[in-house]
Amino acid sequence: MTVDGWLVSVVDDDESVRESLPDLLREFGFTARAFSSAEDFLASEYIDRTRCLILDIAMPGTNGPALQRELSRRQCPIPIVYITAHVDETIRTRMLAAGAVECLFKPFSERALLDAVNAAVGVR
Amino acid sequence: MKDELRRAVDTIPGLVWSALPDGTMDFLNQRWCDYTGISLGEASGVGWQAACHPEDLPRLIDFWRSLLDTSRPGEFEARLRRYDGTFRWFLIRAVPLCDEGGRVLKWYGQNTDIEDRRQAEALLAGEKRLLEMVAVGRPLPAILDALCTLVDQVGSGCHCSILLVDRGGAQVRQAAAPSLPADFSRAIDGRPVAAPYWGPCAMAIDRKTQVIVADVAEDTRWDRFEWCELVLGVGLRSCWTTPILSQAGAPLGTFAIYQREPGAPTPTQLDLIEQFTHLASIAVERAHAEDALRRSQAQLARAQRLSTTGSFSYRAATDDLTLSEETCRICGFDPLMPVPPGAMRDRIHPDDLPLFLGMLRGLGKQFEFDCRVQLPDGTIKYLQVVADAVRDDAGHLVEWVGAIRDITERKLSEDALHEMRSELAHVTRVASLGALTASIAHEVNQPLSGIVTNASTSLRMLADDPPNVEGARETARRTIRDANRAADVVGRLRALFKKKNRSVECLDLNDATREVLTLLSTEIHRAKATVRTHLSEDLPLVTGDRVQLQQVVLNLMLNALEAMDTVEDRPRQLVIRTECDEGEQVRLTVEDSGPGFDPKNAEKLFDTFYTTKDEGMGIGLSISRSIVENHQGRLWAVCNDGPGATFGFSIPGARA
Repeated sequence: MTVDGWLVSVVDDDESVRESLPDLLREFGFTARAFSSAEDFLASEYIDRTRCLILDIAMPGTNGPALQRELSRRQCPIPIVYITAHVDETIRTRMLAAGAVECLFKPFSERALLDAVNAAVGVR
Repeated sequence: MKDELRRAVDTIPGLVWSALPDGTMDFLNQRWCDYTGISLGEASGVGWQAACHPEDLPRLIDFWRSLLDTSRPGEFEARLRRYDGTFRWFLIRAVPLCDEGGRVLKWYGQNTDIEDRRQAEALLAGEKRLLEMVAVGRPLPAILDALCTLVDQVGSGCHCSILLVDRGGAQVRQAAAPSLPADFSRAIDGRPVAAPYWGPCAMAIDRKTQVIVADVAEDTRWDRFEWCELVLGVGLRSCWTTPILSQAGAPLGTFAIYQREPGAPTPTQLDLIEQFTHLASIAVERAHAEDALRRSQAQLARAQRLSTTGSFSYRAATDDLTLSEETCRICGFDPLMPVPPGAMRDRIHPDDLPLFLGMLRGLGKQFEFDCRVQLPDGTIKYLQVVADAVRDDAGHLVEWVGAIRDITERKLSEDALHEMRSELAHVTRVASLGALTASIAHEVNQPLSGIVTNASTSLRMLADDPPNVEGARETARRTIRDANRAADVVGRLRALFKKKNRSVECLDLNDATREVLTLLSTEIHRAKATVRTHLSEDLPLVTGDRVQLQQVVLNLMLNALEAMDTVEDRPRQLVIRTECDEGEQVRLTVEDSGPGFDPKNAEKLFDTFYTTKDEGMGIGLSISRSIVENHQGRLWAVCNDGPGATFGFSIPGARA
């Protein structure tokens, strides 16, 4: 796969997402890494390598949008795919307007995920 | 002998005379001459007529002639002038002396002084007239005027005046003085009561004692004021003034007698003064009392109007209803017209009438309830009625005395508020339901997301070449774990909505039901429904959770009330029954007169989320059913033979 080595990072406080999502992404051929909080991700060495960030919106501590703002402040414009268990179209609209590639409602299909991630990495 | 007879005739205490058959006077005794001051010579013939009062003379002559014509004895009352010019009443008796043929030979007569009797009679008649005036409530000035006039007449040559103390107690007001010049009265009106006294009347009032001015010309007590000049100026010389006192001893005014001659009152005059002063005090006090009554009635009427509270009394025995002006206004009756029997009953809203009549016939000491009246123009008013029973010594009801308050405005705003509240409650419920749904969805979506992702991964691993069986197995295991997590979320939700622990006790379902009824009384009233209860007296106790069972009863009653919300063409009636059926089952039923339900849906009624109501969530009956079933009981519903439905439950009694 040509996407080998392209890192997709997952930031979500929900453990089942952190466990399941990287496996599926790897099945797609990406390199995947999961973080349980925005702080963990910011403290890691993977920011620069990340080609796509799959980001939970509502999290304790720094939430998704706050992380997006921090990254933009640091001039690290990583394409973001938001995921949320809170089904609300207005939130999705807001996220897209703020520059997200996609906003997926949990549970989402593998097709929707793949399309979103491809769109994200293709932006570069 | 003749001289002796003559002496005897002259000594008789009376005026004795004789006349010829033609009526010509031929003899008058010495007393007659002494009294009239007319000599025998002057009086004989028709000279005696000079002694008769001019007003009485024509009738006396007529009378005398009729006696002469008929030769019969007779009596006549007339005033005769005394030598000093004063007239006194006499009874004139004449008797004929006849021969054997019945021819009159001579007339003999005697005049008896009846002045005292006449005066006493006139006084009595006058007093009677005055008391009548007081009794029928004639205006005080008219009564006092009549009183003065009477005294003026009885005590010839005297002038009466009545002064009253004004409301503030500091000044006198000329109340009556019919025979005194108006200038004189005006000069006295408005003078102060307090010392230094301008005249004897002020002193009499202030000191509450009789003041006698025997000779105004000689009295120096009022020198500083022009009172003496004033009195002398109108030709009066003496003034006897006596305070008019209330029963409690407070000075009301003064009763004064002025005379043209100087002098002090005789004991008889003092008696008369006392008598008339007393009469005056009765009249004044009565007038004051009536005035106070009128003022307090006016105050009451105003207070009733201001507080929109009327009063009433009802005598059950005679069906006699008395309404105050404000009550009439509230109930739409003309306050000036008598309220026809039964009219009030017709005004009361038919739904409230049984309650109203029940209360009136009841044995209570007091009742308080709200009811509606319907005015002829269709307006509905809400009334709050409070009444006390008045009972005789034997404890029998004599009458109800009470107050009626128009609470329409309050009621309407309460209803509006209630409507707003329930609307708000509904909005809140819908809003919180939305929030609840969202949070349930969030909680469930998390593990579902894991399940979907894991299942996808698992499928892909199995489709790999070679298949990654170990990876697929691991992800399948995670799928199961996430599914269990989802199940846990649902379980936690259920626990959240479930009451923690049932507290089991022995309880009386009747008591529990009555408590619910009390709780619901406002709601029942607002729903314009009436409640009948048939609570079995020998109902066995039941074992269970009091609060939960009350929730069921409450739920059934609320449903019944809500079902009757649209009923307008018949009474909205709720019948609550408790009874013990075969097998020691305790049963409670709630019967309504609402539209009922379609028997086809009887089973669905108890399903969660089944509802016929726009606002309902459809969980009330299903929760009720689970509570009843937890009590080893059964909840059911049947359509009534008439309108409406009956919901009920039965649970085992604790006796068995």
